[in-house]
Amino acid sequence: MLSNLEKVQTTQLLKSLLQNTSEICAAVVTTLDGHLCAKEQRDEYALERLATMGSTLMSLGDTITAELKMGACRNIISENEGGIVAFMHINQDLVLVTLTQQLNALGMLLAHSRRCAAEIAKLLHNT
Amino acid sequence: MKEIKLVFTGSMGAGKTTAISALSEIPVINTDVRATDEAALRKERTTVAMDYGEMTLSDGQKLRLYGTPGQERFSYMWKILMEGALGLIILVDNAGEHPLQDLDLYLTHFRQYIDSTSAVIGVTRMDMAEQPGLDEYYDYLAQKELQLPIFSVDVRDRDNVVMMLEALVAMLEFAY
Amino acid sequence: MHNTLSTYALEKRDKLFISSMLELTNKKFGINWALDETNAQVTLVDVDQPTGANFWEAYQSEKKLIAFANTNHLRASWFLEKPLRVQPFTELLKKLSETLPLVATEEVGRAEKTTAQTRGGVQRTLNESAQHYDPVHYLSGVLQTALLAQQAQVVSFSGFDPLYLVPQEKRCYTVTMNLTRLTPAQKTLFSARAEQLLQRPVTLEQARSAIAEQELKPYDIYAFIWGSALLSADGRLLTGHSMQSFVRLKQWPNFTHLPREPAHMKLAAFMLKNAANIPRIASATQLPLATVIDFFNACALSNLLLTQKAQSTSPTMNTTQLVDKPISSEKRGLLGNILRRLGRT
Repeated sequence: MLSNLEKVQTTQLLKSLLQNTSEICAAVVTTLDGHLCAKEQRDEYALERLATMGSTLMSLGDTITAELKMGACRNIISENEGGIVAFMHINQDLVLVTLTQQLNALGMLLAHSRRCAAEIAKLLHNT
Repeated sequence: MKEIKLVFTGSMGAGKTTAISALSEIPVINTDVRATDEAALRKERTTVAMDYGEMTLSDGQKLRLYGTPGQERFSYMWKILMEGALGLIILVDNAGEHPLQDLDLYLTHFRQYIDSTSAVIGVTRMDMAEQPGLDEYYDYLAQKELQLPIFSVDVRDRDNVVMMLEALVAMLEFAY
Repeated sequence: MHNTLSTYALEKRDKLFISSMLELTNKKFGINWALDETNAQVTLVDVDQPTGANFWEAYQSEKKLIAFANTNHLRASWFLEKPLRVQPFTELLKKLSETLPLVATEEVGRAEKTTAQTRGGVQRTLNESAQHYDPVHYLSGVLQTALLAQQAQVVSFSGFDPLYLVPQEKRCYTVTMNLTRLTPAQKTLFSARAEQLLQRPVTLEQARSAIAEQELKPYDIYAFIWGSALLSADGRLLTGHSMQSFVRLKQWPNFTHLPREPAHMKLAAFMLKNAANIPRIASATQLPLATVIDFFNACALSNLLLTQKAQSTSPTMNTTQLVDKPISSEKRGLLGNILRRLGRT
């Protein structure tokens, strides 16, 4: 799906995301059919499985919004006792999954993740 | 009211979505996405969450038809979708690379459920690949000490899908 | 008026073949031979079998015997070489006819066609026994014989396109036919009696050429045997089987290509998991005995049954025990609803 160079460049953008926002613990780029393309994390998470589940959830989100005629699904947010997970499209084939353990960091998580997704989309569009 | 559901599982490209479409009264809700891996060589799109269809029974109850993703990396969905299922239909693509290994994957994963209820097996695309034949499937089931109905089916033909459901209903009623 | 033949020590498949071949040769070659095991003019003896050899020793001077063997090591005047083939068999019968007087038809039961049961305008003979189903008298037997003899042939039945039997491929060929939904007219073919069918041996090349020319479709020959057994037995148990035998299905019939009724699914499901005798199967599935027997016959002829004489444990039949664990009435109602919705009740 991604060339080696694209993977390196995408991983670099995820690194920047985690460096610039200390609240974000992990970030994953996955294809919409569940293959992990790039990852970066502070702790040890099962990111392969997160990538696959991210694709499932994003696809369900797309199906739900299409069913309800609400246009494209922008984000899926999972707010949990131990943190927040956000799923969002990078483009029609890729999904960005990010997570934080800070329960009050939803806005920050969405804002920075959205910007990162846009940068990855731009990078892949230009290469 | 308790949900009444049947689950279609099986290998990618075996025809789960098509089988559900053959029965469903509503347009099938699916979560197909573009396949990006080696699977794309066989099938352009693949299910990553579920397929969903419905049939209304004579007393107004809905029979819900779920299709699972085929690939093993989505096996967490298999467990979610099987919760409380009335019965299971396993479809195997005979034109796939290793159909018996594919069947083994699903039988192993769903074994506990099959032992406590039942399942039927539909082998698709036998017109494109005659081997393994149904006898080899039965030999395999015998090794696993399983007695299940196996059909060669064309899931584009509604009659074939109805026949599998009919067999499943009979197994649920009589093969206890 | 006709001649009479009996057999001694023949293997079952040879007996079946002889019986079928007689019908064929009588029609085709204008001779008139009938099987009569009690008072025959000539007896065909398998002298390769020890019992047959003894019989030959004991009766060769008293009775008119035909030695049936791989070679004529007994130097018999009347000899038929194994394996059985139509041509030598016919020629032998023709020669024998010239040496024997004809006997009256009534003597061997042609006049037995007095039973009230009829099918397709042809009366069923008492020979068949009211209780038992002998496939040799029906399409199923014709197909089995063709398989045994490995002889391609074309079968004609009034009002139908020809049916080409190609046993070498285990297939038969005819016009497009949906076996799972036979029309009433097609059902008459499957229930046809052997004497209603005109059989003509053809070479494999002739069969293949006609199939290609007429663009006939291939069908599994066993699907036709299955269909004939289902539709011609009328609730009579297959000869050689007992109502009390415990049986179980070895494997599920591939209904995708078989004539079937909703009841057959129930029977297959029950018999796949449980070994039981026919009355027990009927009571457990709440289906008429005749339906169970017809299904049993079809399974037996398709080699789908595991049989044992009585209820006992067996290494090959580990599910002999019947588990009486009836499902709840609520679940039964739900399953019935699903079948109704599918239009399969």
